[in-house]
Amino acid sequence: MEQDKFRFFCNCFEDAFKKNLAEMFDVQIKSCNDIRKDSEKKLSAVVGVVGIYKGRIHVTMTEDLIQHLYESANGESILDEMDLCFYLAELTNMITGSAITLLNNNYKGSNLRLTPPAIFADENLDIVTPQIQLSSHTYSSNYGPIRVEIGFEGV
Amino acid sequence: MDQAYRVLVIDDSPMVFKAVKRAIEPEGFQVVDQAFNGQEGLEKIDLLKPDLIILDVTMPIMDGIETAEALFQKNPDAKVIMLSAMGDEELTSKAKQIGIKIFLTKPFKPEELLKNIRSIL
Repeated sequence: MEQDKFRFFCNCFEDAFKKNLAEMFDVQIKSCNDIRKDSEKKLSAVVGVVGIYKGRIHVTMTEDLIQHLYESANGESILDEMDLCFYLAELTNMITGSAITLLNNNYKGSNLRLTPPAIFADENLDIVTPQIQLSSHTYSSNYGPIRVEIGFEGV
Repeated sequence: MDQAYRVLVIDDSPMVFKAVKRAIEPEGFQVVDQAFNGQEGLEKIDLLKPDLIILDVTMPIMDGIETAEALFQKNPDAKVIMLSAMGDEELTSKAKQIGIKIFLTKPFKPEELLKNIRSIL
């Protein structure tokens, strides 16, 4: 994938994260250092993208942040870890879908589609895929940090 | 309160199922079950005969578009609301082509879902 196009893809995903967190949950995020040294318990979700380009979006959040987002949207708490995992998967799915919508409308014929999310519970999860262009971003918020990794097959 | 119309949710997300239940059950609708993919969904439609189907797009085994195509072949009058995290023009156009009259993007507002359910039933 050409660098400019990859950069545009990454910007769409970053913007989708910032916009959706702000609009859905009134949570503002800003760039920060890598969160992997942070000791809070984290969960990760990975959503695949298929179509004319293939890629994946890997999101890591602390359990506290996921809990806060759920309470903000639903007015009640999540009581078990499984539901935290499901909610992170759904969040990642929705936000990635929002970015994919923009990309498909910009690049007609791309036919980018999501694949069902996979969830991991791990402190410091790295997914290594050969021949993939990767862009990692870490953000802080008032409720916990977020790491977003965007990877697409490229040149 | 609305008549107790029976609603089947075909979506692989337990969170979406809970959100739909929370949005519509207080208004008198009855969410009868959840199916986690289109194949299971078609089986449950035959078994449960719901008045309305809320159908996701991205699912394993059989996606929402394939499910809707199969459903409308058997029952062209089936009442279906399609729900998806994606809402690009190609997808919504494809959904419309196969007979989907209402397409909502996630996240949905409860009042928006209710309004659309009432309009289709």
